[in-house]
Amino acid sequence: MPIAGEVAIVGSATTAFGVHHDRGYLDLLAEAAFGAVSDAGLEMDQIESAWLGTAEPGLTGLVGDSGSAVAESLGFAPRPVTRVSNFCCTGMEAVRAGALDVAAGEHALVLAIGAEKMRDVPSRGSLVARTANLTHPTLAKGRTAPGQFALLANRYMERWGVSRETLARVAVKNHAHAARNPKAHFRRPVTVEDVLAAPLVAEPFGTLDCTPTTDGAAAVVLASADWARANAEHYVLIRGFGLAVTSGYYSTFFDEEMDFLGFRSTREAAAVAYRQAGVTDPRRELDLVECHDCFTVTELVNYEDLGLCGRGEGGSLLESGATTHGGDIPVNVSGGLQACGHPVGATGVRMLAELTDHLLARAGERQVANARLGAAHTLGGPGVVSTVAVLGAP
Amino acid sequence: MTPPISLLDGELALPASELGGRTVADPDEDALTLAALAALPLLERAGTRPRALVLATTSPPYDEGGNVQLLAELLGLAGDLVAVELTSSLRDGLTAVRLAAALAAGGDGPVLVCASHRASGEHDAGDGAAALLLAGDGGAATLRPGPARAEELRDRWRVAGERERSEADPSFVWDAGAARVARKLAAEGFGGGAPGVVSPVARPAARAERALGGPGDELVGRTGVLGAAHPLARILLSLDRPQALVAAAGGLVEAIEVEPGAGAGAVAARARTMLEARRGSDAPPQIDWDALSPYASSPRSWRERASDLRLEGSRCGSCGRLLFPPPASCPHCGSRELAPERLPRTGTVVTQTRDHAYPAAASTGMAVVELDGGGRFYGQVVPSARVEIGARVRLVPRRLHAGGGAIQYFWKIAPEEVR
Repeated sequence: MPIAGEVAIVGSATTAFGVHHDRGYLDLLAEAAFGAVSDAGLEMDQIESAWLGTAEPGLTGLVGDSGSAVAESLGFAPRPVTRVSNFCCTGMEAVRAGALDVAAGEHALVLAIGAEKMRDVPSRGSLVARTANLTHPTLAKGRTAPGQFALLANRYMERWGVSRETLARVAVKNHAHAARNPKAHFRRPVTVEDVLAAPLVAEPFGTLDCTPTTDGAAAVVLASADWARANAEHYVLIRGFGLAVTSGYYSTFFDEEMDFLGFRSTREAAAVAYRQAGVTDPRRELDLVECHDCFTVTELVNYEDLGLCGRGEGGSLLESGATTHGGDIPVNVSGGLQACGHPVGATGVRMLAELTDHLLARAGERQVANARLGAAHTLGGPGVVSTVAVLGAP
Repeated sequence: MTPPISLLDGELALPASELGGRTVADPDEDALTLAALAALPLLERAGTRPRALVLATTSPPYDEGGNVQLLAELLGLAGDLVAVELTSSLRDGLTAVRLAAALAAGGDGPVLVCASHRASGEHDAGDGAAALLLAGDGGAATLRPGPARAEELRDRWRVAGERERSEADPSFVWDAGAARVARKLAAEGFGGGAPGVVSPVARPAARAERALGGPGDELVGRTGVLGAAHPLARILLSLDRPQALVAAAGGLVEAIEVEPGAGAGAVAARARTMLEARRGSDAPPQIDWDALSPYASSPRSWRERASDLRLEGSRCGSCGRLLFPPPASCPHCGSRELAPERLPRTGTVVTQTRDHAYPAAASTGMAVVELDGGGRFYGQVVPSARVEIGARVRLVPRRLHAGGGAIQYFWKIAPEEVR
């Protein structure tokens, strides 16, 4: 059977995101996994298989390089566990793989975990240094993640006449949202002036345009919709799940078709997820969106690629307040990557846990009223991989 | 006797900055990239492909293992090629012309001669390069290799493995060095008794030239002494008139006479435009080479030398797109019918940033370029320039890093004025 409409999330949990000097990779993984299983009203020995999303085990002495981390951390032996990795879509990939596992009928109760321990090294020694040193010896030299998305920022501002201040307001909105999320990395509101005055990272971005480097883990328990209807204390349904992979890591910015105004991967993944979910007018039909705001400009192009507005209208959609909590299409009420942080493998799973909380009306202070349908979106590498998932209340 | 040889074309290349009368290259430029900068426009204009390449440089990046093959790759000449390198002294610039004449006479012409220098602490030296395309006949000028000498006499030298140079007492250099040889050759009637004189030690050479009534060396005060490129730079700048030149590095001496022909004025004018170009007067930003420890692999460097060094992509035989880096199949139409093709070197900036997080420098410019005639390039901007969206740019070879102990070269984005 397909995933859409047939697989349910029956439990979810997220660790606090932040700098956890006192807890290691396996500790974070265990907290999220046991939390999700407990939320599902189950015991760990009832779970039949697990999928682990970790993108950068090279930051933590290679722990998390294989599914064996789950056996070690959860006492899971001898059940099957596979580690998956697909750039910043790694967490969503763990959930997608777990959902396929359920849909295939191979296992009835499946755990999908995303975990990343990034701050055992200083933030600049983290992904930036890895990219600078380990990637292709000629094609990639000079690239960093902020530098690649800064190419979009400058093009986007030039092409659509969007101001630097509008970019900054993405960070302002998401930090304000995070003030209501006890698990976010940064919970202090920031102003446009703060964003503009922050130390430069890759022009025009300063540090407050960029997601921080963060530790964290999140997990969901997956089961068939039939199992959920018969047994679950609470659940949400996966209504659609799209994955699109559009180009290579090194080749994408050499591609003439790349217009630096958005990402085809997001558009393709959204088309699949929306078709499966029967969504034809996302702005009207979705109640909330968690999207991949790794840098401020990314959220604006995501609005367009996800069909929340037309091309070039991302800045005005933001300025209209529609994507702020209380607006008609709130985006990143969790605080997003901007303020929650972005433990790469955990992020997609965290987004699904966030949607689950809203759809189950248990999101506390930041609850989006009457949320029935939500979408989560991740974007990987230089925008070459994207996942979009649509979750619905049963 | 070495036969004369004809100059088909020539180019002078000088870097973008000048400090106190010395041309100063960016930190990622070296003798090979400067030589390539001079030779590339020449080859892009040329109708014929050289059969031999002679590199003369007083600052080779590699002490062992050769340099000229890297230049051959950057110029798209690698493969079947007679390749020679001369790396000992300023005199080698003229020795390269003599060798070229002999090679051409033996049937290995046309010959491309590249000479370059990247100064490293000499107070009177500057950075630059010259490239000459030479063949048996039919060119813009005739170059006649003249007298040559070799004797044990040192004015400035550096022992292998040492960092510091030594220099002989100035009065000895004046009495026994380039000035003495030039006086002797002039007395024998060379250059009508008034040749130009070049030497690594600039001052006594200039004084000797003045005393003999030679034309004077304008480069000494404007670029500094350009090592092996110096005599060739002088030849190009004065190609529109007859000239004679003595190059003496201690006891190593070469002389040459030049007779202009049709087209000499255009070559000289182009060299002069390069000399007169506006240069930045700030020291170029530095690169912290040790801040990177990049993954590197000799097999990979060899396997991908076409894209890294020749800037070669693929033309899709089905949809016609120019693709870079060369893929295994066309990402647009899936065709595997792909033919190698060098990318155009000029284009327009689509978007750009200055990255302050990349570890190798205080900030690193990165840009995406729509190339003239199709294809895209994405890479670093040269350290001494900034480019904005819409700017016209040119791709130039530079050092990228020294991962794995070898120097990795690649192409960077420079303002179009840079050749």
